Amino acid sequence: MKKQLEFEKAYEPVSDMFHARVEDTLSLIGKEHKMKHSKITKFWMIAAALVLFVGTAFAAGSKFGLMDFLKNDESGVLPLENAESSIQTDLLLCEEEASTWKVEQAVYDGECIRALVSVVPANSVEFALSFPLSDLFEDDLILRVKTDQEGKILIPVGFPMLEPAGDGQNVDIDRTSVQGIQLTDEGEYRMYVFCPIALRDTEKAPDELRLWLYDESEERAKAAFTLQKTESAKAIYLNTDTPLSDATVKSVSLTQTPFASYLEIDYAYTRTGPAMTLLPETTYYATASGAFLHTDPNCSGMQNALKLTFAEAAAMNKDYLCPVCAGGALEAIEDTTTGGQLDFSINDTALPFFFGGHETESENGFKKTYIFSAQEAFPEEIVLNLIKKGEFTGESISLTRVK
Amino acid sequence: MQLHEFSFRVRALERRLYKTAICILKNEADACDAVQEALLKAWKSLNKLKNEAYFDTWLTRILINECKLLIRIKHNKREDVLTDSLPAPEGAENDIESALNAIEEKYRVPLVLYHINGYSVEETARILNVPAGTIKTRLSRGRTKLKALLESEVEI
Repeated sequence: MKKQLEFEKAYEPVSDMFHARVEDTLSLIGKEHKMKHSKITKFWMIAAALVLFVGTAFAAGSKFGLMDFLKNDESGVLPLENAESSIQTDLLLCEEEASTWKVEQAVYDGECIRALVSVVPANSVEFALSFPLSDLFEDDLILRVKTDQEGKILIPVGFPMLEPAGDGQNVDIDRTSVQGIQLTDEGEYRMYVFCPIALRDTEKAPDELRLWLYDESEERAKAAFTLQKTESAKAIYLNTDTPLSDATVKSVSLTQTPFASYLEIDYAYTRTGPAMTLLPETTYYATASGAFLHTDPNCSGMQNALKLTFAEAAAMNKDYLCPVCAGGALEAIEDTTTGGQLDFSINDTALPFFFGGHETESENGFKKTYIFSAQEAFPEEIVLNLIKKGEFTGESISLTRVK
Repeated sequence: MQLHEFSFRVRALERRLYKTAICILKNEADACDAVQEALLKAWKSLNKLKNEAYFDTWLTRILINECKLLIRIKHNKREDVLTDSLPAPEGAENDIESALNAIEEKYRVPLVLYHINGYSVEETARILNVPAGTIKTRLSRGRTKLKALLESEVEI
């Protein structure tokens, strides 16, 4: 018999620790409330100074282009100097009664879309008053905006968003972020839009993307435009180290485009069950404490290894075949139903400007993509740290670039 | 918005904030840190909130950003991870929690916001800064994944 799923029971009740922290924080805010006026004044002095600084650094009235936004991006993911030549221009013009929208510049590098969308509202006051400001955060690059009499920032209605036009492109837009805004003297809002993409049922990013320019406030697509993929270079990295106990790194590649570097880790959880096929004609090697059965006596960590017949190997009751020399035993994916939360972090001395990543399912298991500043030279070595359930396991692996 | 109203609305939202934070971080201590940072940031940035009707979704979105920032920082600073993390108590999860925790965050968070916290599709879309259509898709796929995990005895 089927029963109704009781969502309301999830994550109940609120813990005492959480409740106490909320109360403590409200109390802290209350204590500082007496200084509120001076703090707000200070905040707006800083804001004003920032506007002045930007105005000084970039001549008054000059319009920010996509490269200007990218070079000043708060995330610190910097493009190459020559990246500008890859930017496509004048992609879309959409004139409507209430506003004119333009996709002035955009680039798609197989991993992300970066676009400069300009919106000129017909009536800026009307537009500004109805916009929810929930999209503005401290790390957004706000170059110049209007403020109302209360000092609140005014932005026109409708942040631009991008959506794949049609379902046949096997691509999803992971998220759309407006990460920069400039209001020009002419009342034009120039917005830097950033969208990581996720591939669906395909390994290769399409050479061409057809996209809707979507108006978030009206929840409707305005018009479509097409982007071509930029040039890119790719390097493959191999694990030359001891295998990890809880994961198999299937492949690691670093793709460099003029706009960013993307490190992609394809990995699977190790099998926890005993299922493992041993071949009768094969000689195996194992240490008493190791989890793996090996076929290469010189494989990593094989000091004092025992030479085993098929029967002896089976009797050792090991859980895994070594993924390096014995191969194949770690193909099974113990997915997130176990609450594994397996993840990687990167030794950021090898690749500076760590930005963040997004995870997707892949054929092998899971795929994590990290974004870094664009670089012209591939590093020779990358070190990955294994994180499990939010904690560093103490395990790291070194990966060497394949020449 | 005055402090007393801010406090009142935060307290009214506490249960939803807790569920949002814990579903992303799966860790009481981290959820506490995230909500503290989110409340301080929200109070400081209250002048950015144009329409107070959006307070709930605005604060939830700040909290989600704080949760993600915390995850990012922890992955970068492994010593913090080693010393500061307190795992969620084992055995405390019920079936639905276990199933939710097992699916990807991009499906889990919309499910929690919509089904558990009671936000509409439009509000969930605003919180997560994705189109409403995307939310509908993620809810649908998320429910499918939950169904698969909870097998045929459960009807969503």
